[in-house]
Amino acid sequence: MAEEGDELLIREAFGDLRDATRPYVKPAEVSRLRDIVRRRRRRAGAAVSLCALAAVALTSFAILRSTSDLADDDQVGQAIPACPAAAGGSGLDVAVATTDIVLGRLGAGTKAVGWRLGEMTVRICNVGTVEAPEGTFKVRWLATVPGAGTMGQGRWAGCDYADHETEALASEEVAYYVVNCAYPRLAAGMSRAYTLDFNTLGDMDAGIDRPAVHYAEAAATNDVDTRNNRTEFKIRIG
Amino acid sequence: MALASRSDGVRRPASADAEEFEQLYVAHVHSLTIQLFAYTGDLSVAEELVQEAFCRALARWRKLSAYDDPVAWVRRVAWNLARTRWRRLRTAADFLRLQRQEPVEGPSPDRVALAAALAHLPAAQRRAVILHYLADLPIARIAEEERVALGTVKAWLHRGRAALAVQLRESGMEAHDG
Repeated sequence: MAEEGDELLIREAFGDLRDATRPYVKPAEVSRLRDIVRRRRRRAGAAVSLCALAAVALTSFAILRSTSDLADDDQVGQAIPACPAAAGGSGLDVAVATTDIVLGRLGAGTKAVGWRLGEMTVRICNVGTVEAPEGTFKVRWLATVPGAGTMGQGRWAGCDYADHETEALASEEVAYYVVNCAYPRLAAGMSRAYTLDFNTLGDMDAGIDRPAVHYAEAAATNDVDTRNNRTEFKIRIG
Repeated sequence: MALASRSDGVRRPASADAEEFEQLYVAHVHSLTIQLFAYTGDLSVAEELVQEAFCRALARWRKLSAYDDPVAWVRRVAWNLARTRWRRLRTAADFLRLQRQEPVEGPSPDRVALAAALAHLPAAQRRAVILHYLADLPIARIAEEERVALGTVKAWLHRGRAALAVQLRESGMEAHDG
């Protein structure tokens, strides 16, 4: 009897849900779906035709990356920050260095007018005297500046969103994106740099300099010096 | 099998394909969106999930149109999208939307007691209940789509129904006779 009552109650409730929700559903026009599919096909076509070029670019990128797997003084250009100095003790010591997130001028790059593209570089350094096992580093930054591209792919390969964080700062609540990225095993004295892409709407500029704490952090078990595990950075318009 | 191809092998003109797709879209976009709304509790997310599933269907419509039940394919894709990381990948867009404070129309879960009650169910029970009561799928079909045994779906429905009834009664809902 109780089950019959439940059944009736639930069927009624689902009927209500259907009726209450239906007027609010705003389906896209089929023509819009066709536009989306056409654009995707065009992009896929362009990707195929650029395949050879990409192979060359990837090779160059691999070379660039491998040059970052050097000792502390191996900076390649301005984009890769220097590793912090070692504390001097022996043992495992992972450190993090970052650039700021620097956003470009409005409309520069491939985005439509009104958008800013940006990037930052995070460098994971093994400044200790023993090999550092593979691990993850966390990047936390203001939620008005989304990562560009697809998380887990491209420059965000090996990264995944974690839950957002919020913080009460200067009488307002600030929301942050949190991403965890994997880094490989690093021999003593070696480092690995990751350049990450961002994009944001120009009309969000006013919110960029709000008080907020952005940082990259890598933690390793038995780290002998945890002071250099976290580095704060800023978001600025370059 | 629900997704089996039709065996007539007749090749139709592109215009017939387009018309068939449009008919399928018009006939099912509302019901699928409401199912996904019940599952996610967010109408705009549900609309995006369903739109993405239909886009994927459109991209391979030549093949899907030969299926006995192409909407089963669209539904499965939409539900898979809801279950996987896709929703999280939309975080950036969601945040921008929130930050820009664009008004978002739609019934909040508070206005629809069932949507709020569904949020308390474990995901598998929620899917089973929605597919059964909103998509009107028989238990055997749910078991097939979820790739689980018949008894598992029955257990999900039994537990889900009992938990939902408690939630609904707490929110003041009562069934009416007749």
